[in-house]
Amino acid sequence: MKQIQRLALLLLGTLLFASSLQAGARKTVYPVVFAHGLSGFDNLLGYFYFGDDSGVFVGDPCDEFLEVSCNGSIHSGQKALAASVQPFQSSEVRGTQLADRIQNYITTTGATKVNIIGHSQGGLDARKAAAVLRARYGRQVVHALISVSSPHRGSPVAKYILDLNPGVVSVINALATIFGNTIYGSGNDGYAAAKQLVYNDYSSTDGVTTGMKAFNTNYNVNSSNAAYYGSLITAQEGINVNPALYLVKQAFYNIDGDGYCIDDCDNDGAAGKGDGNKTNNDDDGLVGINSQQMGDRLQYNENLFSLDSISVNSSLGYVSNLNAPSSAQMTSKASVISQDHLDVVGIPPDTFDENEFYAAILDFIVSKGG
Amino acid sequence: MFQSKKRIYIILVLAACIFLGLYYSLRNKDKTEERFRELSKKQRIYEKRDLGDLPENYDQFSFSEFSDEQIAKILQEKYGKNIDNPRVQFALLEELMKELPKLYPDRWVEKLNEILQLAFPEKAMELFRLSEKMYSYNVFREKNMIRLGMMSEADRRKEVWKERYRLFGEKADEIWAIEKKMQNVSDALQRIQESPPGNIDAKLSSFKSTLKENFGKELPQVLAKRQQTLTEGFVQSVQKDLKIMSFAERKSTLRDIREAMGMDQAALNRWDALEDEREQKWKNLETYRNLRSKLLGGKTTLSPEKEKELEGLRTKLFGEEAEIIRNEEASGYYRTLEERTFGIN
Repeated sequence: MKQIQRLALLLLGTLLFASSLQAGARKTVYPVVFAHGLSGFDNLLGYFYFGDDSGVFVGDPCDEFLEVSCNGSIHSGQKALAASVQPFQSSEVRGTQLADRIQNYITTTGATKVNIIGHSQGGLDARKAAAVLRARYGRQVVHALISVSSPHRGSPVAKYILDLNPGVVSVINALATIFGNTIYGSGNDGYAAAKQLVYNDYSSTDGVTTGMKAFNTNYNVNSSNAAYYGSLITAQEGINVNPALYLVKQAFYNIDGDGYCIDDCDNDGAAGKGDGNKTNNDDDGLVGINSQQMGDRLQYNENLFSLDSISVNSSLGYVSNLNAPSSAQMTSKASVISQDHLDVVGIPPDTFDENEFYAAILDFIVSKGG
Repeated sequence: MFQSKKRIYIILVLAACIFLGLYYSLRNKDKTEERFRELSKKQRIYEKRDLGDLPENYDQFSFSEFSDEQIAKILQEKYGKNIDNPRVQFALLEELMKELPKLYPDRWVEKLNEILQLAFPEKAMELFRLSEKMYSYNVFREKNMIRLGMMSEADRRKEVWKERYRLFGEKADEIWAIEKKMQNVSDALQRIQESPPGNIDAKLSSFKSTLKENFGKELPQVLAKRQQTLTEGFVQSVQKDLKIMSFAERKSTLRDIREAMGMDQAALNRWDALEDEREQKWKNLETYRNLRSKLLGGKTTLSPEKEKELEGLRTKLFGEEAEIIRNEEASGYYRTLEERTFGIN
């Protein structure tokens, strides 16, 4: 009898152990839309954008026993969409396209709201899309809006390329070198995309107002458009940076991205200024840390054999006005993820587990009611 | 005398070439690849060890706090059930190859070998050889990232698959199975897009056959997960057909496509309502464009009075979205100049 009891306990223990090893992120209340950055959603330097190293979409749950081409770290019932917009365009264009795609998704699924995770420019597009959807539906449609490595206050690389500084013979060639040949596809406007990513209006004589400062004024952090805003920040030093970005960093540019001032006081294309030290861990190869915080600064905690997690770094406070963060929000290296701009999406080789990372974000969204 | 001098010259030049060749080949040799090769050759067998139990709160431990036995035990639990599947093997090795170099920068390849033998003694050599290939594949991709990124998609695909087959043989098809299937679907959509307009039913049937060929009995699950993406892909590929239809014909065709892609009645009804709404939106954009161009009268900017008139119409036609359209135009983006993508926007 005792033997049977022991066996039963052992089996129970094994089951509990197995299930705890396989425990993944909780299912979000609303579906999650993944918004890509510059370049095509299914092709970034030849890789799938929101895919792991073997091309599996990080939002694809494993809904079958033994299914392996999926993300085993998310809930089997998770709903997600990798939305596709014009690879190289301003966020005014891409944000409206993203809103159209989300409206289509809502129509198909019957969902009442969505959460958005935007990488790089995708985080800017998401803010515009949230405003468009608010206007169309007459109510808040986006619950949580999370940006990853987004240049909310501009990128010096964009201005450097537009200025055709040493090492850059053409804006289009430079963008192609960093993001791949998708830029040569029809409908792309590399100039509009680059102008979008400069903080100030790039040209006072072209008859239009571009840049992140104006964009932030129009589509700021706004609780009418989304219930929750949070951001994950990336930075990495020299040799570890992806070869494509390393070229930008070493061959013709190196961002000094962790100094504070109001607006773009050193006219480098991004708000804030440098602290005089270019080589430290203050940018991810494209964006400085002083450009990336929107809403809460989020911290990514890696756990090898259990689900990774995301928490809020509350000591830095909330960026509610994207054009006026505090000095600490622009300069602190706290909770910065040590990865480059392209590591957090599907470009190997890297030491980053995309499946786990996005699973942790989904679980965090659940904790915020999304 | 002259002849022997010439001979000495030739010998010296040859010796210099050999020396430089050896120097560069040794300098460029990847030490990790060398280590993999040596260990594969040696086939060192580690003694079998009891893996013991894991602490109850093991999930609060960091990788560095586990013993080799504990890591092996966790790997058995996590991957053991599906260890014969190449994609699972790939995932297991990726995890170890990500963590071990951080802890053992100079001897992570040896550690990998040891842990694999502890966790999966029967499969250890197969897994170790696979990890060696994965390492070489990563080196290839890293070295060629920009060159491949600048290639046409077809050329890049050809070169990447050539390298995958060279390293992994037939296993490559299983490791990148989903990529291959999605690529086949994408190619089918491309062919439909390039075909002349007409016979949309046949195009839909051909697309569904492609889906079935690639996903087989998994198709219902794939459709459930990617219904929106696959439906939009097909709708995009038949724009030429949709463009020449009347609104009523187009709406009915789009409904048929969506139904064939598995949408239920409620979804189809929501889509009907959205198609009506969008038809009206595009009519409004046309009205707006006409008034704007009339007000401009060939000029590039509007007087304050005319701007006020335009703003009044914008608000009337687009409601709350009017302000956003004004922002867009200030930045140089005009929705009125965009081409409509039927069934998408």
